Amino acid sequence: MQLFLLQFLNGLQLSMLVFLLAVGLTLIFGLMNILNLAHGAFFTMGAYFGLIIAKATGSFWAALLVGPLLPFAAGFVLQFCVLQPLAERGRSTHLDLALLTFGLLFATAGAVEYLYGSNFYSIATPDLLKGRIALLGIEYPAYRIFIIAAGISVAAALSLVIDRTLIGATLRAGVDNREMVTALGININVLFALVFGFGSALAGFAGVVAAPVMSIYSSMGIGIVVTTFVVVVVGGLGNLKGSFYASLIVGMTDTFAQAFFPEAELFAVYALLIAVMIIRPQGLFGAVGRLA
Amino acid sequence: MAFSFEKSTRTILGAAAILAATVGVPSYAQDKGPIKIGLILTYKGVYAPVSEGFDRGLQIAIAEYGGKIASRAIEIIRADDELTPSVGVQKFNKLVQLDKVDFITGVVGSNVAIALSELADRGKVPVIFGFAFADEITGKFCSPYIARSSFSANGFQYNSGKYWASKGIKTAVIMGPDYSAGHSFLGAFKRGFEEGGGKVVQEIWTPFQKTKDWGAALTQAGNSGAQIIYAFYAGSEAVQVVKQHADFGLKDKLPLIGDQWVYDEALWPALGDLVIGAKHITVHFPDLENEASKKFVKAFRERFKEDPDVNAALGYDNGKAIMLTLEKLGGEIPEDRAKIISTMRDLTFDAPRGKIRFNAQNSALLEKVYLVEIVKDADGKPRRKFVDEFAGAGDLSGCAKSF
Repeated sequence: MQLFLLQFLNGLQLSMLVFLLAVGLTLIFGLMNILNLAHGAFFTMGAYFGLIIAKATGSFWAALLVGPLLPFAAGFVLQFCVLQPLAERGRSTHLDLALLTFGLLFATAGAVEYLYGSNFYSIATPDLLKGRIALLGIEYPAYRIFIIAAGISVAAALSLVIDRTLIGATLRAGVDNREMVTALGININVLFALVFGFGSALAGFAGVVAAPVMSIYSSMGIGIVVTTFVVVVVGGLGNLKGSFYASLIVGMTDTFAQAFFPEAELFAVYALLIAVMIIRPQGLFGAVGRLA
Repeated sequence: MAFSFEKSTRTILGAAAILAATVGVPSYAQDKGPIKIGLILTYKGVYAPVSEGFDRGLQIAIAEYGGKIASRAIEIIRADDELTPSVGVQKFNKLVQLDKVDFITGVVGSNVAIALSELADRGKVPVIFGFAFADEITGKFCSPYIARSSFSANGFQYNSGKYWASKGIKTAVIMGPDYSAGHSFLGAFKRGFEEGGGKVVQEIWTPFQKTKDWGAALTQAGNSGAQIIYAFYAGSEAVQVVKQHADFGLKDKLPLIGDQWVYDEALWPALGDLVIGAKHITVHFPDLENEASKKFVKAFRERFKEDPDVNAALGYDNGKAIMLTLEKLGGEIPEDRAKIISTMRDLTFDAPRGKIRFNAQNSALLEKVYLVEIVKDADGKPRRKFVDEFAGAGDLSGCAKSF
């Protein structure tokens, strides 16, 4: 039972990390219909910028706050200066954008390797979250509890903002009827660029959160792209709540496979992806009428 | 017509060049020129730090001879194999046919090495592997044109298994990436450990370069009741395993013992204080007390302003073996280039890691394997401290040829 509880927490922790990674991607896809393969690049950027801040200030919390700002700016600029003008010229099919952002992903990894070499870095766990917490007869690393809390908080905050605030309403309106929103005097291009920046900032945030558990290296963003896409597809393209549940499915599948059926670990998540693509291509939680 | 004639001459010339390169260039043709060595490494990506260390160590060995043998300069021509066999093959052909190198050295990945070993054998081009630890390289794929200056997985890990079993460790969990190198290193450990009376109670194989979260595996290991985890990981995976192992509070309860790559100094900045107190086996460390090691470490520090890592020591061993061989050959590349390899096989020399000699399949043996502990020195920096040593094991048999 204790073992099961430990593995359940492991699964939850991984799920939340995956959610933090995938939610920005879902947000961008859902609102702008852009297949952003450069998401991993923003993950890398956030981690490295967080590392610089952590080194300069010695504080993890400063890194967590400031680290996502660089990917935010980079995401904003990418959408406003590159993707938007492309869309206006009619070059915005999924393939065009996928190729462009895919190239950007590798270019970022190459640039980071050029600047920082291929060494490994890490941000130290903050003192507050060092050690382990005893609960229900087991001990669990405090930092992993923090990851779980961070994931749930981001999910709650996002769903509040999108469902209950004026910004959220404007966003939803922008997706449904772009011309009408523009006619009402809202600069949709700036709004979309802000959302793109915000989605990228979430990836950067995930980069800083992951840094104390994993490590920071130039090609760190390339490996995560596949996992995040599985989440986005299983959850339903652009479905925020769906991506939360999908993260849970992916994280739990991965953890329990690793613990109890190690041979199936590599296979399990992809089998799920294929099954979803065949049976419910709109995603397990996809809303009707929102096909990609 | 003139055009097509020119073209066909060029083709013939090209074919002749390829033929000459594969058959073996007669030595008189290059008496005056430099000796050309093709150095294939993985200069980008995961193994870039490993390759850079090796390259530097090799440079130290060549510099020791003033960069020449019998007044012929040594010229190194570098190529990046991207850790991909097909790219390695391309680079091999380019070095042999275009650059006309006399032989090839380096090669990090055993996957690339296996691809090249067949080419070397067919093309009669000597290759002196500087890493490529897979047992098969000088076993199943052995050839009179292949030597290995490093060591085999079995040579490094088999006696480590016996050693830990003799030190009162009865149960262990082995943990490593699910690919050939992981299986050959940990397989050798397991054979030695179980022959020594220990028992591997759990084997954890994680998907190579796909795993980021080791929570589930470590939880299972923590629950297994074993005395140690014996791991083989490198690069980012090593960082994640060591960190997460400590996060789960297993550092004292279930120590993570590994080799020089799990606790590679390239990872120390990322690991911080977590490395202190860790024990691992290695073939070389900067404070190793012997003449050859002192000389090498001093030269390395002077040139690169830092301590050599184990990869640099392997590069130095490789360079030293090459220079001693060339010296013995009087700077002449023999017509049958297998003679380069057989000359190397007959060498015995003092290297930083101990005495190096080769077995009948041209694979260098380890005289000693060292057990070290990472401690803090007076300045608070991590440093390796000698704990114990044991002899390296022989290679697995498996070579069907005789030469």
